[in-house]
Amino acid sequence: MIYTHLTAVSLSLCWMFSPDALVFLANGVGKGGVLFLAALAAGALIIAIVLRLNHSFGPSGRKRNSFLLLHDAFGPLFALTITLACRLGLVILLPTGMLVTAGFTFNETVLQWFPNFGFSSLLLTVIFLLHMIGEKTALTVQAVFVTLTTGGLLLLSTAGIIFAAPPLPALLPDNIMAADSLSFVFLPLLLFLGADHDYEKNVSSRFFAISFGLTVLALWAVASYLNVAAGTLANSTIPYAIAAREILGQPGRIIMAVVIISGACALVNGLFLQSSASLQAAMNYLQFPRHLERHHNLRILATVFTISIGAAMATGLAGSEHLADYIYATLLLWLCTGSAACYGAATKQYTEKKVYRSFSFLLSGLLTVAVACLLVTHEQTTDLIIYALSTCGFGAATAVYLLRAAARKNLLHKHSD
Amino acid sequence: MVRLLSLLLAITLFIGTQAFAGSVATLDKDELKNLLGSENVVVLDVRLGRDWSSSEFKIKNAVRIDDGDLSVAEEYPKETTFVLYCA
Repeated sequence: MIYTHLTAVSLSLCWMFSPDALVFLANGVGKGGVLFLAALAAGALIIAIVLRLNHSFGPSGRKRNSFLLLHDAFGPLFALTITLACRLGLVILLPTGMLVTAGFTFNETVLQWFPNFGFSSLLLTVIFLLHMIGEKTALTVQAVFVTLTTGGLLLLSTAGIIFAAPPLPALLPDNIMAADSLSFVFLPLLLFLGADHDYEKNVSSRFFAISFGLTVLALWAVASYLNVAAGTLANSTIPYAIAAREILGQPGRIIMAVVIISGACALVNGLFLQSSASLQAAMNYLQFPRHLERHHNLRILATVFTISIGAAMATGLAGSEHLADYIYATLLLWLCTGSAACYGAATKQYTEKKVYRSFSFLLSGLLTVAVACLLVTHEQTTDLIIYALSTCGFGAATAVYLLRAAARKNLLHKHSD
Repeated sequence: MVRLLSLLLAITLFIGTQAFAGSVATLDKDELKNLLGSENVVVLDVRLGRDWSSSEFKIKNAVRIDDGDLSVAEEYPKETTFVLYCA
């Protein structure tokens, strides 16, 4: 029971404690100060409510998952398109970026002679092997990764808050009303997305993950704000490293290195599991490949993911200045999926209670506004739109092909019966 | 025949670029450390994407080139030695 709960919580936390999430967190608190903390709490609450609505009022009589919810509300083409566009982007782009971050962290903090790319590849290989050994192993090690990350963050947060030197910073930073700063209001919604997945049905563990994640992230945000200038936090690409160094010096850098490396591993491992579950739901709907058991499917998907990420790293995607934009666009697509699921749950009217339907519509609208605001306030809005449209186009083309193939196969099965 | 020629061209270009790359001098960190602060030495940080954003180490007074455009070198005197800092 404890094991099940721990692994479920660890899976939901995989994105929240990742290196990129820590960057978003620090950038947000640097721009918004104490207001960002309020937005953080509100973001956690909103995502928790979205989860409650989508997973309580899903398709009745069948196993509930977001794919079926989208399918019932918008049809198979939309459901497949958005699942492929979102989940494939997540499982290839985020790990590519974060494994490289982990590689640099190891090289610059632990062993300077060890090549960063080599360490990134080593981590990817380890995670691949975990999935080849088995799903249970991957889940168990996920809990270890998240525990290490959490422990490091809590240790640094405690030290940062207790030993913060005066004078204390202002509650609100300067330039808080700047146009691009207002994005901090909606930024927290991106941080808690990781709890929305189809891996297992235990919703209570996800609520716990959101609450726990909020607590840890809030503590770390406060510790960072107390020890690093707001302007630095707002604009740095490595705010976690700067904060750790200010808090505990060289030991702080080493602790943060553990946090970053284990956080990157937790993200990659967690996304392998989450994305496999989403794609598995789609494959179940398409009813192929029938002859393969779930654990074989997971191994095949893990292999495909690993090869894709390896190819992305080898071809220098991590060195591309566009990768950060692609990752941001993928996160916005993830948020869009949540909005669509809310809208779907509301329109399908799985419950007689009008207040829940109204709430679902309201949340769907709020998430859509959030996506629009985060898109417009980004420096590379055009690039984000082009990427999102391209990915959805690819997803749609693949979905059409798969649906036709499934239809032909089902027709063949019908004729042969 | 076309495929064979394409393959030979690719191999030739690969070997050629390696030979060309071999003519560019490299520095280790100790050699660079001795040069830092010199008037005629400018460090150009040409790291892109995560290679730059994930790195904690940024060389003081290095000029960041984030778009691959090295025309900034024209703003310096001809005697300037440029050190390109890459990943």
